Amino acid sequence: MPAANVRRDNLRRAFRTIWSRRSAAAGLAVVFLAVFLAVLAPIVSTVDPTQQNLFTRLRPPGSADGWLGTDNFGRDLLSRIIYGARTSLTVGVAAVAIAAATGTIMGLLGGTLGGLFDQALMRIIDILMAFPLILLAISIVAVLGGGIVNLTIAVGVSSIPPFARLIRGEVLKNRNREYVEAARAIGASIGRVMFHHLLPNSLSPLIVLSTLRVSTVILTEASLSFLGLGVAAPRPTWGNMIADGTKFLQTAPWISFVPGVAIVLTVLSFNLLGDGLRDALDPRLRGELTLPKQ
Amino acid sequence: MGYFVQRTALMAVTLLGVMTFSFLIIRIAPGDPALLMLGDYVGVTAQTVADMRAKLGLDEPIAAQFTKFITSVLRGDLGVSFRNNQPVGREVASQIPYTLLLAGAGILVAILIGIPTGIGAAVRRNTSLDYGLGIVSMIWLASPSFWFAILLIYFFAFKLGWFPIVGAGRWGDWAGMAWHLVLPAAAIGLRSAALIARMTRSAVLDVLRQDYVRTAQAKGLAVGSVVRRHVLRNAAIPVVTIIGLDIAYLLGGAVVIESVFARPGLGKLAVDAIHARDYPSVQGATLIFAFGVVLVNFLVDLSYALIDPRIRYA
Repeated sequence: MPAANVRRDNLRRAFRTIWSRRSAAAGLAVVFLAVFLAVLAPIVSTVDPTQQNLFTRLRPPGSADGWLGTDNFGRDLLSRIIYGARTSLTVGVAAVAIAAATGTIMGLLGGTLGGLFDQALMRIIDILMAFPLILLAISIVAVLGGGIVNLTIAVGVSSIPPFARLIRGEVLKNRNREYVEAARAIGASIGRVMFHHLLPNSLSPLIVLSTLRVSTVILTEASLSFLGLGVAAPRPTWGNMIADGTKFLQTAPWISFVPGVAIVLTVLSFNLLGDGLRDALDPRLRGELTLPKQ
Repeated sequence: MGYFVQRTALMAVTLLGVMTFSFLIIRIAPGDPALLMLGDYVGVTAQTVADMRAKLGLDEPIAAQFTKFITSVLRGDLGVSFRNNQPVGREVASQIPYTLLLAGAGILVAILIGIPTGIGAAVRRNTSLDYGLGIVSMIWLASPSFWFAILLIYFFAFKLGWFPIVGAGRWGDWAGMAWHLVLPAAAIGLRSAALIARMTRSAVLDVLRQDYVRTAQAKGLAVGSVVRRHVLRNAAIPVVTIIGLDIAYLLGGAVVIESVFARPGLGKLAVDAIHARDYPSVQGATLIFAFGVVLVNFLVDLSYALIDPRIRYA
């Protein structure tokens, strides 16, 4: 069977497995919904998320001025949640892309070349892992400054270690297999062995880890924005919305509660989807524990 | 003994690496570190920048800067804070007890709730207790700790009035300090409890499938004795690993939780310093956090040898 057909068959089987698990299917549906809302925010939400209206301040959810209520400036919370999804998902996906790309290259090089290079690389990874994720991100933000681009870089760089470790482990497992030896025997270069043989065989765990890491990144971004170190007001993010609400916790608790629910739903969905993908793509890992780190 | 020496050497190398990373991060970032540290302060002139460069030793060769940095850190000299001109080392040292207290209380909550629940869920597999734990832990792990803290404040401080909202109490007034500690410790500890419970459940389930457990059951031991005498010690390694990893997470969590409750501590120091563009304090606090994590990982490695003698002699 041609390789493309095999791949399509695997994809179809993976999709069927996810679909058959209700929790993973629900996760996938919510992730799709969040992406849909984030991409089409200006169409879905007709209200400007930064539009202030002091006559409709602090309205509770379900009021005529907004389904999810309004905040202390009278801004529509639903619209802010939808636009906030843009920030969370953009940072989440972009930071994971940075981490996955860099970590994969580090892991491939370390695992394939071995020796001193690999030892040095692993020490660097150990050192990065000594810093709690949020503190590492804080140190990078301290040096680069705030804003969405720097925030993404900070969280992305901080998330490299698990990817480098995963891919290195996969390479160490596979590098003495027959297909790698065969490729070497016919004179394939190291680059070709890495990118055409070792990388494709590490893709499944890579996809699973990437999905699960989006959750961790969303939580970290929310924490940084909550602390005022991430994306600045008035651009809405779920983290800074929760921070805004803390001043009105006694009188209008929904301002903080609503964005928190959005975070929980999104993170939970990525976790469920990640667990489902793991069962579908890498049955050997079934039942292993997911280790979310913040 | 060999294991101990090997782990100690590894820890020393990692600590040196952590210091190198702290040293490099400000120097490899784009732009002049002196300018970056001066930031938006008004009245920045070429002379101020030059003075700052001299003050930070940036006008010296990089190797000399590095040696100076490492020897200063080893002497406990972390530089001088930009905000109040106090030595960062002293400022950091005064905050460490608060963070240790919070992290310690958090891990206590996590262990006291997580391990018994995990064992219970494994022993009563596929019952409502097991499913309930599964659902609660999934939702818990998806919640940001600062949001969970806000929910606790709303219900237990504002609505019920049981606990104070801000601060850490006065040293010496132990009851007051404990009172101030309940909500923050719950905010970081309960999430970790979910993680520990999940890990304990899966580790205990693995051990329950072993032949020696079946033998113990077959010779008529009660479930309680089987778990106590045969299961717990064998299930301990993955649980201790997750507790160790979790202490690193708890230390990170303290950064946010201290800010939510306006508690003094290393995390709040780092966040306040960053808002004030006080880079030496940010660097000092981060360095101490990283030292803490490296030390915890070292202790976890040593505890493996205590739990499982095979590791000691390997």
